[in-house]
Amino acid sequence: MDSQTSIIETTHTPEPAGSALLPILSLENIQKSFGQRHLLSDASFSLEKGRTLALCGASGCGKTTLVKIISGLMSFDGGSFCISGTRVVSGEPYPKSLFGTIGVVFQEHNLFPHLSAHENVALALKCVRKIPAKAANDRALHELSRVGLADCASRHPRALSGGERQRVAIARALALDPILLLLDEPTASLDAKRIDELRAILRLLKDSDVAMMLVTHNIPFACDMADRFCLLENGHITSGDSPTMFDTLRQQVWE
Amino acid sequence: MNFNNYVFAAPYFGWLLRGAANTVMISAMTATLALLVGIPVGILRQMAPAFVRVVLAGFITLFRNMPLVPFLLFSVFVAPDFFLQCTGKAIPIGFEYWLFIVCVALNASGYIADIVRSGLRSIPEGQVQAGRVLGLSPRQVIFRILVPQAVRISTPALGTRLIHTMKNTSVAMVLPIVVDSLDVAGQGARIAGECFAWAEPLVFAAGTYLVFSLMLEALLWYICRNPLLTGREYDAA
Repeated sequence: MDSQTSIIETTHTPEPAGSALLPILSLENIQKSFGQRHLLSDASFSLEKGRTLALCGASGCGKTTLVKIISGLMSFDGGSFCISGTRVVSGEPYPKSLFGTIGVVFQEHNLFPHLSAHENVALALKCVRKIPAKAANDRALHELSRVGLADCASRHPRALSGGERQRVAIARALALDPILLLLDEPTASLDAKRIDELRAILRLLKDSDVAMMLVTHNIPFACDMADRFCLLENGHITSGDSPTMFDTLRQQVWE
Repeated sequence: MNFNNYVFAAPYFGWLLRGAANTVMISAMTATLALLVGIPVGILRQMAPAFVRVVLAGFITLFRNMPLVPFLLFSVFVAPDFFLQCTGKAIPIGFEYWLFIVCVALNASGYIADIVRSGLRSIPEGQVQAGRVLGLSPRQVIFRILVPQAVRISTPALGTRLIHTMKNTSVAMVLPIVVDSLDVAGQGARIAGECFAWAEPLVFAAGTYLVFSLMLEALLWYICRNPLLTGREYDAA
């Protein structure tokens, strides 16, 4: 654990000067229950442009549920959240305009197995953005190159390794120029080398001002990448900006 | 047992050949209609609003569970009589032929709908979620993501059902269909009635069905070899 602590102390990014910026994502008292089980009771936090937030917590505490709520895949019981000025309130339909503006990289990647890596990335460009086929294909290749997979463009997901699939999923999400990127357990099933590759890709995204929310169990990775740390426990979120938050996370999640 | 050569001479052999051609035609029409009805019913049974799903579940249950021969006899003998009593008009001569095709197709469509639905259900929910967050419309999710995969998964079972449907057309022999339109089994029975020789025409009919089944099986094998259907292309490094 000492080595993990040293990672935080040496790599923590200081607060950017633009902390007064309007948040890209702002959650207010989100509540979600499954029957008698109150998974989320009072989940609140905010995330500004170009910032990275790490959401940690024990298995089954509701991290993925929160990702699904934010991305419009699941309804919620109370509270509201705001994504780039568009408010989503419980009990009301999720605004259609938000679909396609939030990039989600699922834990299982959820690539379309009947399409090649290149077609996976180009699909939404053609069908949603209505970009002509040639321009969409060029953009898809560009996104795959960005994550170092230009050589794998014609391969189908089953012919890719776990790390490559994840990078295709990231390229697919980035192709739509999302205002917010949600990554659910991005380091799950990746070895140390692949985690380093992922870290490099996410740093590039961070430099290009993409707001990111990392949902992870990998606390050293989270502390390495994030500007803000959130711990989800018993339906409540405790957040902090300082590296000392890591100690709290470590004690509550890992010990 | 003596072999009756004359069964395979004029005019009877011509009847058998015409019957074989009719079997191909009836099977093609029945299979086409069954697919045209069954595939949309299967998709809507999985994707449509609750009320439509309940109605389609009833459709599938009705046609899948009804025995084919009683269903045909009801459609060809009882329904036209009911139609005559209600409207005062008789159905035109030869209409039984079309009733027969529709009944066999409806029977098959019940099975086809559930085969398609099982293909759709086998696709992980995560695929739909990925499509939605990318901004694809529900229709695009169905036709760009789900249906291409469901077709691949369902093709072997669909092919088996179509072979079964082709063989089911032999029940036409129990119906009062115009002799020229009879299938090969019906022509066999007709020859047997005229010549009092059952074995030869029915063995010919059975052989015809066997040859057609093997041909369909070969076609199915060829279609399923397509890399997009086998998934081999997915695995290619």
